[in-house]
Order: sequence, then C-alpha cells, then structure tokens
Amino acid sequence: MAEVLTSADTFPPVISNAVRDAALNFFKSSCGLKYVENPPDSAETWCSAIMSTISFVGDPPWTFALVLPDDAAVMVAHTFAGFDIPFDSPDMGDVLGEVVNVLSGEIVARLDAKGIKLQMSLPTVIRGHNVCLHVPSSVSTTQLMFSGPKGTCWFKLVKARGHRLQEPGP
Amino acid sequence: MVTVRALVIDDSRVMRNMVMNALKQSRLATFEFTEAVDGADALTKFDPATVDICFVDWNMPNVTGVEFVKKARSGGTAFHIPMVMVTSEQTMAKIEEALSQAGADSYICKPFTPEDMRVKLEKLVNKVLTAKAPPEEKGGFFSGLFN
Repeated sequence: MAEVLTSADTFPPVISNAVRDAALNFFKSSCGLKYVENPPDSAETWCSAIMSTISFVGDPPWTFALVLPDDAAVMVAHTFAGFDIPFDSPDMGDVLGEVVNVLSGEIVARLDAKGIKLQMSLPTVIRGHNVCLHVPSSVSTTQLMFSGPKGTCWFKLVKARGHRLQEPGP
Repeated sequence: MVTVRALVIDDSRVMRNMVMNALKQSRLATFEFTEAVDGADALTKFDPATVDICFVDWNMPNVTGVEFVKKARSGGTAFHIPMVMVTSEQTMAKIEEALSQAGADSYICKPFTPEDMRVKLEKLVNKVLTAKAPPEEKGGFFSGLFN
C-alpha cells in the first residue's frame, strides 16, 4: 500500500526540491543567478513582469509559474537565446515559454528518476505592467527565489486542491 | 558545394532560430532551411525529394513532433530521411518512444550547443552529404576508372 508522504496542506518537498535543483542547474550555468534562502513573499509585488506557466499531470497534479520582472526577463532571454530580446517584443513571450519548457523537461526527468511520473503541458505566457500574482489561499504553494545582477526572479509552485503525493509502489 | 536542405519544426520562432544558428556554427555542412511552426505545418512542407534532414520539436500544438515522424515515415518514401528530435523531453521512456517506436534517428535535448550538434550529428550529416555527392565524388568501386 502506498504511503502518504505529505499532508494535503503542504507543497510536496520532493517536487519543490526538484524544481529548485533544476532551476539552480539552469540559472547557474546560463544566467549567473543564485538561489535565495528564505525569500520574502514577492508574489504580490506590483511591477512590469512576465509570467510563464506549465501544468503537470500526474500524482499530484500541480502547476508552476516562473515570474520575471522586466530587467530579469531581458537578461534571461538574452542568455538563453544568445541575442537581445526587448521586454515588449513578441519574441519575449516565445523565449520565456521555451525557458520553462526546458526547465520542465529537467524537472520531469528528475522526478521520473524518483519514480514520480508526470506529463507536462504546453507553456502559457502572460506579460503585463503593474501586475501582481494572486493564488487562492486554500491551495498549498511554495516559492523559490533567485537573484542576480539584474534583480530577482521567482517560482510560485501551486499544488492542485485535495491531492496527496503518494510514494510509488515497488 | 553540396547543400543540406533541413526542415526545422518548432512552435517557437526563437527556438527555430537557435537550432539554425547552432547548425550553422557546428560547421557540419552548408545548410538551407525551411521552417515549420508545428507538425501539421511540417506535413504540408515535408517532401522527401526536397528535404534532406528534419529537426523536430516534440511538444507542439495540432500535431506533435513524434506524430509528425510517424506520419512522415508511414508514407513509405521517407525512410532514408534522417529525423532528429530536438526537445526538452529527456526521460528514458520518451527517448525510447522517439527512437524505437516513432523511428527517429537521433535525439538532442534542449538546451544544446553547436558542439552538441556537431558531436551528435556528424555521422548523420556525413551520410546525407555522401548520398547527395555526385557519383565521381562517392568513391565507389568504379570511381576513378575513367579519369
């Protein structure tokens, strides 16, 4: 019988650790960003930002949003694509979709190695000025922050309501 | 000079440019590119007579990359056209699905570098170049007899 690893009220650490490690690997090698321990909650900061999300179907279903303020988005886009992409350019949404797509591929591989099978969706990208990200208070979330010379970016991880992560069977 | 005609299939314009730039920088060959925005668009542009190699993303709307490879192969006239998956999917199950079940010839995980392209594709591209070379350059049994 499968063992319940976490309560429904907390975001599963096995998943947030996989996201953190995949992002560390990606950002350290390509953007010079560092992980911030115990970050302040930045989700309600008003700013010009771009948010790229992907959903994962599996046990549990969950979603992550990578939120990048404008300066950080321009830096990450330049490093990833190899050429300058202005914040308001149509290519900005395109490249940030690819960034989360590549990150998600590594996250899925890391969790697959732990026996957790997931399928990822296509990315969705939202850009705006003076935006803030609100998440319903009844779902479990966690946040990971990275900082670099051009500012900070963060991940908001949101687990679907009422699902419990179960340890895979033998 | 022999040109390799490549069909680059990805729903991201930026990623198509990254694939094309990496191939140019790999110096494997001189490439001529056709772009497709998803598997459905690729099926309309894929012609074994005019395409020498395909670079295929996996996760795309309408028709996925693996579906494109299967459909292109099912025509029966495209077995000799190398299909290279260029994708963020990197689990063993996905790699096996692409290579064993769909019939892709090579698998490159994103992100990639021109060096990754060179190492992974050298043999495939050389095979294409050899097949396209004029008969006297292929070095066959009778080559040189009439020089």
